[in-house]
Amino acid sequence: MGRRKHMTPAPPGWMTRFLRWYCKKDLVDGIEGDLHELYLRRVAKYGKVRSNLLYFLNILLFFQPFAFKKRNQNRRLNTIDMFRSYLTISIRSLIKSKSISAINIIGLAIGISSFIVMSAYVFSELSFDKFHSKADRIVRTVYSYEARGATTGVARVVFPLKYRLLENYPEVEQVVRFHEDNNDAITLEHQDKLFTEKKIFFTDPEVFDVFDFPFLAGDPQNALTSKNSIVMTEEAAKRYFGNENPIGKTILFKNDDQLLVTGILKKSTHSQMDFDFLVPLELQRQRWLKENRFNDLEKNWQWSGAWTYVLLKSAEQKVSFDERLHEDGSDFFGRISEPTVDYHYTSQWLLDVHLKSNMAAEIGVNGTTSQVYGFAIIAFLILIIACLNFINLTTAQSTNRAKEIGLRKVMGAHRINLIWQFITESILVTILSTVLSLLLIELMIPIFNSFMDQNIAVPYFRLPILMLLFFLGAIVVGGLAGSYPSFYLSKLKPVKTLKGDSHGGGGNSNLRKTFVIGQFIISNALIVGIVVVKLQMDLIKGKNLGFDKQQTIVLEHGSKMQDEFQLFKSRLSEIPSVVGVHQGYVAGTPGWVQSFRVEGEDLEATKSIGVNHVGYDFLDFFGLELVSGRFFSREFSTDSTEAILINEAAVRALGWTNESALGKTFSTRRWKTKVIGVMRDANFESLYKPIKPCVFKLNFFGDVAVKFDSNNSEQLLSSVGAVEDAWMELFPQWPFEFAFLDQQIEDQYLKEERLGQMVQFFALLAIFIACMGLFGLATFTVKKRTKEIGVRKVLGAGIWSIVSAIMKGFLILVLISFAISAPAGYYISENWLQGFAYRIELNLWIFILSGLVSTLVAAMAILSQSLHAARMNPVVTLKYE
Amino acid sequence: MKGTYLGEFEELVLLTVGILHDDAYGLAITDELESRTKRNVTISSVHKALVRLENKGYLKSHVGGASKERGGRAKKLYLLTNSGKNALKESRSLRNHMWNDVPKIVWEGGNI
Repeated sequence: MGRRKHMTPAPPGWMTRFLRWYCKKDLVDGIEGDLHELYLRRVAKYGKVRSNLLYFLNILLFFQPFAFKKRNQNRRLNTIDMFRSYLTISIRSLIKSKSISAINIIGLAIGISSFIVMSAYVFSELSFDKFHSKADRIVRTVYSYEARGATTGVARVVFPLKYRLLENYPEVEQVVRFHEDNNDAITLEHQDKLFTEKKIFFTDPEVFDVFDFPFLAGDPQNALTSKNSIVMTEEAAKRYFGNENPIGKTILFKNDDQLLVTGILKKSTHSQMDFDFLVPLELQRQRWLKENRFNDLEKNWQWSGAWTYVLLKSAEQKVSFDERLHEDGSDFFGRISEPTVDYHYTSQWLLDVHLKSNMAAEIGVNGTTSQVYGFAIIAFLILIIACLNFINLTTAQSTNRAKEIGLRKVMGAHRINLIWQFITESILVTILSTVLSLLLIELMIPIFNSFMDQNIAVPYFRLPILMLLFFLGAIVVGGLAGSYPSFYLSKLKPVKTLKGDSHGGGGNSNLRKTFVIGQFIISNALIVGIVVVKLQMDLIKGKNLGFDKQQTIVLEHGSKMQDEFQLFKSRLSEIPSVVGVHQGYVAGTPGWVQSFRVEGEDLEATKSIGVNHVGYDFLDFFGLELVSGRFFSREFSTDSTEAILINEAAVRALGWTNESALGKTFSTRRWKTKVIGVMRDANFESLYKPIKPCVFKLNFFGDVAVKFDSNNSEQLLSSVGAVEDAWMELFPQWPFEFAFLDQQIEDQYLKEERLGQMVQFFALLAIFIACMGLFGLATFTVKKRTKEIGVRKVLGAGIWSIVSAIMKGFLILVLISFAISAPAGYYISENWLQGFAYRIELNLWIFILSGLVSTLVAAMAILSQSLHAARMNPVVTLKYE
Repeated sequence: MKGTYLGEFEELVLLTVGILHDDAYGLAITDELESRTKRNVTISSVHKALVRLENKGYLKSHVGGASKERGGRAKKLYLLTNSGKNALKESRSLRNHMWNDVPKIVWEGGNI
């Protein structure tokens, strides 16, 4: 019994501890006592378990503001004062070392702003076509075929496929086709305003059921139901109607069809369908029927001319749709009884087209995933370099302040105060550089947009949260960068630091070295990248295309000539400086995409080979060479129907020799032809791709090119003027517009080239930031070693031995990073170069060169500081102590 | 000073402190209130009211003795202050006046 009395039941200790943890000092005794009393009463009544529970419930009920400990009630005022002090000291220390602060702030600002601008570009590329509300259900039908081991993908399919899809495919909700007439320029006219328009799409009236192009005026439902209607973008409407309301006005299409303006759209800059005008496909069909130039396109199963977009009933049905389409398309939808070419029909997501599709006859200029990711990677690298730089400099800088820390500690500063001091400083720097980077972004975006022909923007004001994230990010980076030095330095023992033993410590400088190596690994890889891109671009630009493109103009509306061409040609022959006029395929421009199935007699499989329709003068006009046989000649009347030439690539593809190819017969469903000659390979299409096998056939239509022989630009201009006079006399109904061929060809590579230059720019920026960091570190090191240098000088060291002593330490770091980055650079460059048909080979000297460049740049960054140090008078440096 | 308004529960607590006179601490007040009002009173709400009343100046407290059943914890004993007494008197006289002003007919009229 006696023992039991001692064992008075008590509530679980942790519950009581919880109460004591949160409860105010002056209340806790009273409450705890009351609860204990209550508990004992309950134990007697209900037993222990229930009482424990009730006890805890009571404690929870006490968990209210009135019972809470008031934390730091007295310290709160002090916090503000301390913060003010941190800020003052921070500003003072920034001002004290102006150059390093400037390097820090500017470097970080450049890093942040480049990162933001590049991410804006990446997001803009990733956002293509996302504005269509049904985008997740829209696919594009495409096909590919095998020809001699190579697969060719085509983004367009035949026109009548639409009706087959709508009738036979339960998955399909709607089908919309787009078509663009590349072969004949279109003019639009309203009153006195006449323009040649390049961005006209023919489409189906249901287009707005599938796509959400934003309407500013007009009714999307009926906008294109009449064949004589047109929908245009706001900017395009301004060209013709100024500030008048365009709805209900008429516009003249190619001099004879009056079209009613039924809708105005806001231009969609982030869409693969880059058009200014939408016109019903029916109009084109009727016109062609009238002109009798093409078969009825709705019944034409030969020509793949329509970009065909399918709205599926649900996204999951793509799989079954693809399967059905593939099976159905393997015999070309029942059109070819014994197919000899494998057609693979399939579909691709609308959202994948812009970045992932790379086929023949794409609807617009696509980006590529690798470009976008490349940009994203460089953006991150720049940010990383800038942050490493920042951390490095902050750390280095703060070791200078060991004495200050010692004194502060002696005066009673807690560790937490010191930590806050350093974190405040680095956050101050990041906030300053964030503000600076906002200015830089504002400067960079317009330049970037005009240079890259982009429409990127950073939507600060639409997204306040972005702004918030921006500053939050800055504070986090600042906090992180400040935390290392603050935790490290606040540990220092005041006795030690005040004694003068203020060297930062071994571990610290190792970390700095690692960071420098990291930065230079990135910079080195970027330099290798720059050199490789530059060499490759030069190779492509300097590559002899194999044909003559100088002093040649291509007439915009030349393809409208048929029989009048002879008349036009004879008129031009009167102009002395005109040396040639040619109608037909223009070398260097995109060729005919439609491929003809050509049957070699001794081959079982038919091969698809592109066909170029050319005139009699093609060979001379473009300065091409014949390898064997002869070219088309007027002396052989059968040349226009029974003769073809092929190029060397075709000879190789068919396994012939230049001589044995002669006389071989090709047959298609329409003609049976004989090879009369072989032409030397010339690069008519993109230099990114190898020369394709192709066939040349004599014909009397196509673009008209005129070639001059002029000594200077003034003479050339007057010759072009003479051509214009002849044109206006013969074809007054069409405007005289032309483009220089060499310019036109160069434009094809413009996007690549600009992208390359942009990458180079940002890579240079990254290297610049890294060098700024190195410069800062050198400044710091030199400052720390002044005494050592003084002693060395007193003992007789020369300037150069001191300089090399300082530089050696840094250059070793640069060399180490070079050794690491060279293989990485090799790997990346090799990958990139594989996309080119004509590519440079990666030589050792490329790497040696870039290693030299980075070493040189690094050396220059350090040299001035080490020279400065070496020239200092030892009397001054050794004066202290 | 914070607001001097006396809530209903606060008034009851104040009166109970008066009733218990020299042994007015949290649990005792709770017990007294429960037995008199026949309603459930949580101990935390009583403590809360006590803290508030002390802040208003109606109560003062001192530390009382510790005992075994309290786990060795001292009691926090409360006493009415003069202003606490005044507040109670005021509240009572307000009620008395209002009682007096209710016409007799109300009490005698029965239910309509």
